[in-house]
Amino acid sequence: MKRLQKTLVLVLLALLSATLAFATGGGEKPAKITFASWNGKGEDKQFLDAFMKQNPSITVENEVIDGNNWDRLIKVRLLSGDPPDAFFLFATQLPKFAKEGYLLDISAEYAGKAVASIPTLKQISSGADGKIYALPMSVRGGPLPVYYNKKLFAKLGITTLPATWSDFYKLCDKIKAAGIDPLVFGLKDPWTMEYFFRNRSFTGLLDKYPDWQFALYNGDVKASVLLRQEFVLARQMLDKGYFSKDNLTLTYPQSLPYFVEGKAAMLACGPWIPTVDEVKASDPSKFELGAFITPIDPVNGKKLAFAEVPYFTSAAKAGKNIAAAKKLLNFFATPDTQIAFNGFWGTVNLFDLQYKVDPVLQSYYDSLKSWTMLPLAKAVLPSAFIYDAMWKGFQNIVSGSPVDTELATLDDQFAKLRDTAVQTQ
Amino acid sequence: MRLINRRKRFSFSWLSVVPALVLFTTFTYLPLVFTLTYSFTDWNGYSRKFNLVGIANFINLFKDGEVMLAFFNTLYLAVFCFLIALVMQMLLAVILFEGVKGKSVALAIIYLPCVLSQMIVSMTWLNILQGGGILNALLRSFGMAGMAKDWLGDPAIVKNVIVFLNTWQWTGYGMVIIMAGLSAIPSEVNESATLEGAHGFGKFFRITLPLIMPSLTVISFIGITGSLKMFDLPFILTNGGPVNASLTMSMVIYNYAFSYEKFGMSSSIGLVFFALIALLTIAQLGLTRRLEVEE
Repeated sequence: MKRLQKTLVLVLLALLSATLAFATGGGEKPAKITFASWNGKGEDKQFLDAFMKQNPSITVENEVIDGNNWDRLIKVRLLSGDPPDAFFLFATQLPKFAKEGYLLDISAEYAGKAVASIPTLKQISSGADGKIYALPMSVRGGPLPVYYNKKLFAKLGITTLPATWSDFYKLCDKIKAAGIDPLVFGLKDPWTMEYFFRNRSFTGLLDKYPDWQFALYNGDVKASVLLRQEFVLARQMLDKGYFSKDNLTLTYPQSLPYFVEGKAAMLACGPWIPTVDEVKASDPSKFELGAFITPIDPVNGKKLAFAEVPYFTSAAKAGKNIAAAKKLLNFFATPDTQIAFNGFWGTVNLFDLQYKVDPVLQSYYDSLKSWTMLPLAKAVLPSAFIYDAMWKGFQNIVSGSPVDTELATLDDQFAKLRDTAVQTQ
Repeated sequence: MRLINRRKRFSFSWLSVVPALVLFTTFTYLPLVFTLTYSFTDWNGYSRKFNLVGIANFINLFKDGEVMLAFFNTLYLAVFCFLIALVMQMLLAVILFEGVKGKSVALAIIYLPCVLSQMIVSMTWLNILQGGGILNALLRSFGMAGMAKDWLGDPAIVKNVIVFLNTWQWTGYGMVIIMAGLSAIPSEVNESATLEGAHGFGKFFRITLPLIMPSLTVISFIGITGSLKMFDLPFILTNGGPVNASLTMSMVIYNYAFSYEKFGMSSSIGLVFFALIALLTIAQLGLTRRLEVEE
């Protein structure tokens, strides 16, 4: 009898344990992953929170890495075997990291996404082996928006926005005559100027070299030829006083209050400016943001611009939780997230997605439709050429270095770095 | 018994030293060995593979305009930082050692920059020296707009600005070491010299200077190696610009390793530069040691 009682108790206990295990272990095991980006003001939080709400068993830790040294820092992390699980990736980094086996193959996940229907995007998201290693976050192209203070323009009696480059110069002359800097560039972060001039599409040279990166890589054109007109214009605008040489010591973040506070009338930058804190916190009686497209004149009647993916999302092959990282990538690739992401950043996305453009950028976006976008697909130039050599070229022009000297330096630098470029087709 | 104790002490000594030796070897000598290895390869800094290229990196570095420019910039900065700092350190040390009113306060103020982090010093001076910064604003407000300059954007003056900032930061450090040297001179030596009729510059150069030479040996060694390896100040202030006017050897080593993805070449530049610093400091130590005198 006692033995029977003991047996019954044991069976009951076993049943109870099994029930508990079923109740608690039926769901997924909790997972923790890191997501790295350069957005240091918590801009990614809303998206990561939305992901975690959909996936309660996954915790995503947002890691911020300095954007100016992104390439260097991510390289070290990947090499050391301690990478973030998922992270943003520049187009210049994708082929080389894919080649070295640092990135997760997400070909299967990519197949079901809206972006897969755009062949060029699929191509530039791939490594040399044809597998997909990253998801594009947006596609951008064309001349940059030029932001201006509507209140200041009204005060200066400026009622018409420039439609041609010559109109733009006349506008700058009028602003300068009023004792205000027409433009500001945070030149200590030289991407601000390089970005503006590179998106002028090399003043019509795209007709001859539609994939300018491949043309450079293949030796069809020299860097000095591509950038000549842009360097000349940069020097011309400096000599005319359209921006100050003092901009050399202003960082990009410092240029924002410089613009918002009315020390400069215009700021040429990417499509995220309506979302920056300085604009949101500005005094509406003194500042109202407006934007127009950089008025680049057509060449031979054509308006050609290159389209590029500014950055991707990717996952590390050596990450600690591959399944969770893939889920995060899938989340970023859904149309809803893409719409929310690009809407938040005010990004003018050339994906075929219906999302709300910031009202400030609506006219800019409408103007972009008249531009033909050419994809960059066949080669990827080294980060050091685009992000260092070209940047420094513009900085040095403003410092007073002769245009020809900087163009020659650019050619030398490209010759030095060419062996680190990657042909993708 | 004595032998056993000696052996025990010997073993204990070694046991005490081994951990530090292991750390030192791992973090100082081992990286040096790796650097030597990489200098003969074309490693890009992130790939798992590389090829041997013989001495190609060592040959190419002497042909590279950027490396040569950085070398001469570094030499300029090192020579002027060292010489100007040395003169300032000796002057201030002698003045304060003689005893002035507010000596303690002056000492603290002069020494304070040494304890600040290089990052803070660079960021602070960046705000002061930039075109629209505090210095130019002050000059303009006092009616001296003509003196306002592009301190960090003018290739002709940027190196001198860096020399000034480096000297400003490290003068206190050397001054304190020299003052320690001055206080170590027995008073009888000074009294005898004064009785013999020595005074002023003559006394300083013939009596004081030789006796503080050990302090100067230390300061020279630290000053020369420190200014040759300069990185933080130009990196944060100017990133080597404008037009590479403030590009230093340390920055070139960094650029080749992390921007140009030529770790092999970076390693070869680092090794050649290391050899140069070693030769310079051996020469300097030899010279200053020879000038030292016993009391």
